[in-house]
Amino acid sequence: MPKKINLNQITKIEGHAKLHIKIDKGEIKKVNLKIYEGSRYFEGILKDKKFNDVNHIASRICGICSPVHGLTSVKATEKALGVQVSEQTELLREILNIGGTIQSHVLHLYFLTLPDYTGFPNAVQMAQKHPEKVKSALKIKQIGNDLVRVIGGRDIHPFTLTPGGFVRIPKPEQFKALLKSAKACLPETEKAAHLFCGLDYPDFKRETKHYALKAKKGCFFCPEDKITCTGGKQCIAVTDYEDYFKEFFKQGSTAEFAKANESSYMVGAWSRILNNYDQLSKEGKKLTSCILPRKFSPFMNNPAQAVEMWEGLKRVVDVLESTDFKPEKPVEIKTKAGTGIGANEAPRGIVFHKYKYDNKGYTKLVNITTPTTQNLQNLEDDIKHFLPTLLDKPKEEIQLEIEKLIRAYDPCISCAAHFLEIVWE
Amino acid sequence: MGDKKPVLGIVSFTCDQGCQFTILFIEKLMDILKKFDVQYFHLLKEKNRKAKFDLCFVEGAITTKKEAEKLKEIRKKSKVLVALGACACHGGVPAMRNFIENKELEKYVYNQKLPKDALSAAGIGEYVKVDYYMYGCPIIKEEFMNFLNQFLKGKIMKEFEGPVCAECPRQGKQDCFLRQKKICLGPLTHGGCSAVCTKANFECMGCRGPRPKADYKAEIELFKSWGLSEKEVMQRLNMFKNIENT
Repeated sequence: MPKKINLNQITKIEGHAKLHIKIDKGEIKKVNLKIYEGSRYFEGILKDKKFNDVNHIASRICGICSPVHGLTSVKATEKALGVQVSEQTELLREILNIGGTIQSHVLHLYFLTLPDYTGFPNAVQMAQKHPEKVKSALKIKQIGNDLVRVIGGRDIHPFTLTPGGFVRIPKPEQFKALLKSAKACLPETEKAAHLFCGLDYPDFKRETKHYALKAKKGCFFCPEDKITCTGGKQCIAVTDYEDYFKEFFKQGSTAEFAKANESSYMVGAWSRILNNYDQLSKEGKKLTSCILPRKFSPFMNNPAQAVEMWEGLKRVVDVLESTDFKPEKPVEIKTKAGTGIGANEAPRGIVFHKYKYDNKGYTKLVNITTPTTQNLQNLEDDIKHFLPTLLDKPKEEIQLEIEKLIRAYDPCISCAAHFLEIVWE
Repeated sequence: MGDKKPVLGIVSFTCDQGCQFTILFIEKLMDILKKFDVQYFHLLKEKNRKAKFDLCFVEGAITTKKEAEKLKEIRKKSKVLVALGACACHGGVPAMRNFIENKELEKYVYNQKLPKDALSAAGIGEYVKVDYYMYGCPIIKEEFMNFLNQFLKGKIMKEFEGPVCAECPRQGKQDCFLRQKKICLGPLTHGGCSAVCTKANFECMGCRGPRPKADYKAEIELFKSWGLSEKEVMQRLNMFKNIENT
């Protein structure tokens, strides 16, 4: 039985984190998830910035989910400045977010997670033995990139987004090409849903709370300004989020953690499926049938992401088939003092941006709460409960199992990182 | 290089890792990585070793003494060192904090103290010799692939010389953003991006960093002559790089 496990650099996740575990006579004495990501002081640098620069800076919070940070930023700005965007803008933004979600999910599932379950140290080596799986992943990755690039201007850090709408609307032939490739890729996402459903996940369960934005009726990817609690009941208004979710720092970590009502909770694909199940399409519901029975397993976040890729792409096909997008200029904006909260479902869960503007259109106060911040405490609590079931295994195996659990959360460490002095042991 | 595959590393400092993700988003990535011995790429690999690199890409800004020391170690171990993306090239978005008083920063980020060894955020060229600057926030996939292909042939690619305008279809035309009195940083900014933003109706924000020979003063005066405030102009200019002292 090992006494100490130190994962000094957890790999195949976004950002820099380590885990220290101390075990004494079969008893777990310490589980400490440490974040040592360099802090970038985003809430500081976003202060006193002009309203039409803010979303471009905010996008740089995250390299893997930049579309949703941009989207949430413009939403917060529009709320603060009292701007109502067109229905077409809403639809394009929904597609952009789905594109970003597919990009993020496919990378996490096939490149960071799947090697663990197929027995390879990394995706490059896995590609040599399972070329068909990697090929399928590349096709899905391509459609994710296409969606973000066509609507947002490029694959990462989309720049066409602006408060009030988009600086340019793609041409009809671009939408046509997009529809064609989206349709062609649907079977690949269905394959993915089955593949990630059938993996041999560790047998672990722990009941926890799940939160997700309430999805509009019949539209899984259209969030309302309401938050649902475990089971899907609406419980909190987005405007009350700061009173409900409490952020805190931990000694020795540069990241924030969060709790709701003094307890840890989960957000992300799995929480969305559990809370917004009713708004999935008929086929989407069917694809969840193999994961729903394991409703207390955090590992189900993996297959949940795969289901979302299918559901999202299907929605894109439906929207593109039924919508005639027209050239349109962004709504003109008049600056005024005000505060706005934008909330969205990022690939890893709910993200909040709150901005306070002065009457000249400069930010006076910024607060950002990322999904990984919200998930970290739940992840640490899961590790505490998962470990005792592993102690009779060799050290390497324990490490791999723990890493599987960490990766199931798809943590995005640089998103979660603020600064607190690092204590090096 | 003989029969041995060149040893490759991709190392990350303070940034959002968007450039590493851009690399992971490359469709033909696996085909080209097969030709390298990838020793360090923590986003993709389980076992990472700071070996002796034939080619090492460094992403992210340097923000602490500790990071600077690590960077110097990496330089010693690398035959060819490439600055990957805006943060590594010239500080990028993390360097925006250089314009804010430390006390202000600490106040707004939850009253937390800055690290004891904190430095002004800067590009890696402030600390070590850089063999190639791959600009952009994020980098351009094609440039990365071209660089690797040329490297395999034993060559170091030449940097694109002109500004963004050199590839911009609006240059000299009525729809040039400058004629529309919009803050477009195209003339000041390193080109080589195929003018991706201006082609999609968005003015250049300067993510590829300032060209050393560009005439900032004239440009700033021009913007101000339109009635724009100094604050608004300078914030745009400083989004990706501190040009205040250039």
